[in-house]
Amino acid sequence: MIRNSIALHVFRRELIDQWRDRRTLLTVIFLPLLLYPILGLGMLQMMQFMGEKPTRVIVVGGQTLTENNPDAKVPLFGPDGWNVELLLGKANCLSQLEHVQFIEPTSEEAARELAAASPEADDQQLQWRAAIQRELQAQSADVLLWIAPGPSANPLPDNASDDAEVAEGPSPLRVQLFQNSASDQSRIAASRVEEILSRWYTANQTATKSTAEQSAAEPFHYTASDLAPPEQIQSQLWARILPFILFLWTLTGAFYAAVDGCAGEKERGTLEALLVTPSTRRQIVLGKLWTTMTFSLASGLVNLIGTIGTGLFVSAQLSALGPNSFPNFGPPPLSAVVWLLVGAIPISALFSAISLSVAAFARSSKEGQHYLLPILMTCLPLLTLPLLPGVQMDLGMSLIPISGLMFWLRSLIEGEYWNAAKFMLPIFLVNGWCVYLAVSWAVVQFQQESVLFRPVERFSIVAWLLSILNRQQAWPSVSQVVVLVGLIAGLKIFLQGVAPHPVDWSSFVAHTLIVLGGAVALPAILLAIVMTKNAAQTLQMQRTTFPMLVGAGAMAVCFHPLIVTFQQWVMTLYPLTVDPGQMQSLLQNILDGSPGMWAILLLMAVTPAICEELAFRGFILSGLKHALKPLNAVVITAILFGAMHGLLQQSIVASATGIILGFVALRTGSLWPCMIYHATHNALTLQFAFLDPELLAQSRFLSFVLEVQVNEQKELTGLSYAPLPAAFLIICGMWIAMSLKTYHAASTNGTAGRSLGSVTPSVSEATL
Amino acid sequence: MIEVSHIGKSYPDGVSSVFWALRDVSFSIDRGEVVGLVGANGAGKTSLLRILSTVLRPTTGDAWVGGYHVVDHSQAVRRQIGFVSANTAVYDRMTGAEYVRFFGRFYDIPADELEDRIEELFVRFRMLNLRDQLCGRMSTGMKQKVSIARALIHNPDVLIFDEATLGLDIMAARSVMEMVLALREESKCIVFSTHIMSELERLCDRLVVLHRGRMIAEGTAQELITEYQEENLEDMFFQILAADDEGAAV
Repeated sequence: MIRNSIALHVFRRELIDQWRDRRTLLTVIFLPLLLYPILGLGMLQMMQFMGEKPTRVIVVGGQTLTENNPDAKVPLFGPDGWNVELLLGKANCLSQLEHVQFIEPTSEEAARELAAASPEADDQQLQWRAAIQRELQAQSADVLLWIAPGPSANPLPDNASDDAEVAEGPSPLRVQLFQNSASDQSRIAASRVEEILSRWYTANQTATKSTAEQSAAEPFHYTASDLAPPEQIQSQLWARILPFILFLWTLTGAFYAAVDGCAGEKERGTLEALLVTPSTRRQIVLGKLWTTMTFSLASGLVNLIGTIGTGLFVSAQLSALGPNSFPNFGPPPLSAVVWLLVGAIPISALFSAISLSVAAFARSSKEGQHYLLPILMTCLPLLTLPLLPGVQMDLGMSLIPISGLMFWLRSLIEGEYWNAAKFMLPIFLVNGWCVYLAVSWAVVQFQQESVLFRPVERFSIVAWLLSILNRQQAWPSVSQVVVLVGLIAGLKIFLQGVAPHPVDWSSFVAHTLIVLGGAVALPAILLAIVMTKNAAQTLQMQRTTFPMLVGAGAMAVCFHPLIVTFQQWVMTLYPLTVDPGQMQSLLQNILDGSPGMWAILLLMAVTPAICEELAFRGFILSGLKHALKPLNAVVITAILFGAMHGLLQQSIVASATGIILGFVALRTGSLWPCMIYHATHNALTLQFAFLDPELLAQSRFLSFVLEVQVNEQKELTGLSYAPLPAAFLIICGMWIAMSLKTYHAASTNGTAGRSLGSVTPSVSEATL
Repeated sequence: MIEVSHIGKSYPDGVSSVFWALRDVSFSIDRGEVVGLVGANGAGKTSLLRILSTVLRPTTGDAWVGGYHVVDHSQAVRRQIGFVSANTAVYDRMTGAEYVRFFGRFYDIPADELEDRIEELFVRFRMLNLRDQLCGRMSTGMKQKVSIARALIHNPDVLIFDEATLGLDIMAARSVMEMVLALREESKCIVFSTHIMSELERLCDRLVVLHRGRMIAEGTAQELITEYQEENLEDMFFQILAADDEGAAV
């Protein structure tokens, strides 16, 4: 009994100690509240890369298997691809099989070479396979489907000979599928094609039985051939496992070393002696970065040695069972080990810099350790992205920090050196920039006086809330900005789930208003009222002049070509995996029920402009511009604005627009021009998306300004600005932007109307 | 050598208010002078010395050390000073000599010269036994001696001691005091903060009294005792503080 009361006594003291450790408390409670919504948004962005990609198939020799051929019992091909009847049935496979593109051989010679019956002699066999491989590579195709009529005078290549039984009577067709099992995309393609071949087989058998021609006829003889060399297949497994292990352990190793080197040093009280030496803070941080890197590298390499050693042992044990027991599993190739050693350096540099910046922020080791899991959880999706089946390295992927590096290493291990070399520059630029940013942030932390102080403050939630209410500040603090961002992210996910699903106009209106109003505008307004002295000032609801509003609107029009061009570049970089036409037709169906264009513009152009501007250029930029340099405040606000948009492509474009909006907010000092710019931009984007082709054809002005792309059926497939009008508009936009600045400077000196105002002096007096 | 002009220093206090640790403090110290900074806990001594050692920036006012501004030329200031504080710990996993050598390398001292200097310091302050001993295994007094050796390795003109004898036993404190006395004879400019009056009487040429962030008195020990008509420094100190508190209450 006595023991329990003492334990309780100790427990209470420990609890008080934890409760009064403000930063740790905030880390434990508020970080997850912020982290999960942010992770949710990150996952949404990642979904972009997980969509089904089209399978590219080269078909050789299947001309007779079409609907038009009366001999084909059940045709394999229709006029536009596969026989659609074969695609019906299993709904889950349908979507996959629809993604097939057919490709013709590059030349007639190639077609002849590929269509030749599979040669008998080994050397010819090798030549034939090499030709197939060349053709697949030349056309970036995933699989090659080779179809030849029977009888099989020549034995089929590979292991098909065991199964090949030459039946009496009409011999079955020979169908051979060539894939490269070392490539995810090829494997996925092969499984899709096999699915349809299996359906075709069954359909043919059924047809044959029903006509009672031959009860045991084999419709075709199928063989699957793998073009990937065995060592490439084996290295593929290791190409996924080893980089992942390296990444995980370099991060963990870096993190603990960084926490000990920064937060630990603060805690032990040895930092002051270092800070009074003539070294610069950057030199101190660099020294700590190198230490962290050393530990990170050591940790990664030791764990790699362990994994490789285990791999060698397991493969030796498996090979003892027989050479064909586990044909795809072998010891890690030596080249993989070499590349891992090379790759470990940039990886550990990146993770060391990230860990160091976080550790420099932490005031104690305890606080620092709480940051490991959030970092890990933020990095894991980026680490997993290159492991997803079907995701391939391209320029867009190479620009993603961590993922690009992981791809690069994977390409090197898989022996795709050209791929690795091609994207090396963007990968290293992006990740190098991340290292620079993280190190700079660590240096900034070390330049703060707070680097010397250890956490001893007592935290009381009641006192904190009271102090917020009683001692409101003129402008939102950075922590209040972070709270708003967390609230927007969390509420957006929650309200999107709760709000009615948009299926018609009324549910679309309700959904938009609930999400934008409840998750974006309302939290910003409430926080501005509760936490700052003057909500109107915080939200930048300052009066402005009419020319300023007209100028902002005109700027939106003039910069629209710039944004459209940027958007098209982003779409090339990160192609949409969802069908934009399908999305547009869904939206069109909803909008058909609207009372008119005015309602659409009010809901889709004006409402987002008001709600998002209140939150971003209002509360967030107001707070950040008083804590950071103006440019940094604008860029961070724009990035946060972009991150709140669901799709990656949307996010990048929104961030770019956010920078212009931030510029307008800074120059004009008011939110009204930002709202006008935003609403005009949205309205133009809507008009652009739903532009009537007939109107376009009739209007000489629109035909001059816009360029259209049409498909073979003369349908509008794309729209962009003509270069000359676009350049003119952009120059005009820049002139207006500069004029806004002049006007603002003049107006603050009490001489409003010198620039834009002088153009329209009669309306310059009209203010909102 | 040290010039402090209207220095003020504030820290954030709570969510939106600030706490002023120093307000409008001005004084100067010449070469070869030992000045004692005296004040109760929380008087602002450590803040002032941290400003002089460039690890804190003044909120208001200016300060110069060896002719260099503490904010604008902080690196040049740091080359001129040696800083020892009771709050400064040593690296537990380094030996005494390794620790001093590590800091010596920040001052671009040639390797031979550095070794000679380490030898000289360890002999001069009778701490050869600490040379190869891990700092983690040293007593508080030993660690403080190693810290002083670290601060002297580049032979600085200005020495800043912030409560250097805090927490030391009589023997260790005396040993540290002797080290400071030896430095005084080398005409170093020394600022010494403490609230132990006997140390001040013994070491300092002049005293600066801080209370609640303000400088409330300045002069030699004898001048202050005479001015406040007290028998010793301790009584004088109490009277100054009491008079200042009364003034504040009125």
